[in-house]
Amino acid sequence: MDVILALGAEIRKMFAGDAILSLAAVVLVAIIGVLVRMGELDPDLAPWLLMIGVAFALVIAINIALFKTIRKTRQ
Amino acid sequence: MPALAALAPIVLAAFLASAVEVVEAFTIVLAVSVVRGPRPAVVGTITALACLALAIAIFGPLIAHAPVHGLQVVIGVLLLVFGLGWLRKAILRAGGALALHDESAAFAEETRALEASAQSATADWLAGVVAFKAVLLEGTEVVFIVLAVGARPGLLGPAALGAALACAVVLAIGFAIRRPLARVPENSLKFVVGSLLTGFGVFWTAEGLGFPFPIGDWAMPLLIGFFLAVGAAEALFVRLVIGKAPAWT
Repeated sequence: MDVILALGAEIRKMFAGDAILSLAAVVLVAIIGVLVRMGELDPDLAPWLLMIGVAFALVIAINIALFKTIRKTRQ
Repeated sequence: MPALAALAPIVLAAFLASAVEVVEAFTIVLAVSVVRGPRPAVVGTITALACLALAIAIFGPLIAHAPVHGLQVVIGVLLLVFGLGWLRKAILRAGGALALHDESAAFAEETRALEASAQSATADWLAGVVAFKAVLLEGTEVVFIVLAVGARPGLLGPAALGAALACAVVLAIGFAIRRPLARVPENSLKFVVGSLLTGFGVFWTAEGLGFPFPIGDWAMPLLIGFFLAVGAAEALFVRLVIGKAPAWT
């Protein structure tokens, strides 16, 4: 039982590094996928948009973490 | 298909990501071996490897029957989430906003915990369970990485080869020096692996959703380079803000 719980916690840890960043990535994939299906987004442009969107989400997440670290240090 | 453009990043990603996991498992198994002798360490490790082999034997054929595009979307999104998590943490560590992972400290902590239970009648059993858990947990991550980076027909072999090479290299070095592999630049590895997995995540997701990159498989090295560059720039930015010299190990 202990092993199963530890395995569950490890798998959760694998995917929950930053819940907001993970959610942003999933939402971005969903939005781009839907827009391409609806014909509102050029399929040749979509992968590049996904690449830039993921990088943008990462940069925002890092800066939020940095801001939190600085705020904690100053307190 | 430019074979090298597709194969090299897959073998490299599986090798580096698996190396990180094997180093972590090795540290714990070594602690068990040092405190309680090799028997519980070997029994725990072999039992965990047998469980992993059984899981692969059961679930492997099911994955082979899954539709390739659906599998690519699921694995692509999981890789994105997994890779971004590694990359984010590695950037913050390289930038000095988070403390670096210390394999020697992990070894010392595990040794202390095992020594605390050394008087117990079930000490060998507990030590074996510790080794079992470490190998099973880190091994599960290795299996996921192999399945994820090889998420296209014909690429599972190269991914498994990369992981097997990582196991062989880490274990050979570990057995030779018989100490925790503290000098492995773990954060640098995690930084590179995070970039590789995020790159694969974007690539598989786009391909699975039916809008592949117009430049084909050459997009893989391009994506990896792009996330490495973004990550390096962010780490330097974090360093500048925090005011320390870059720390890549």
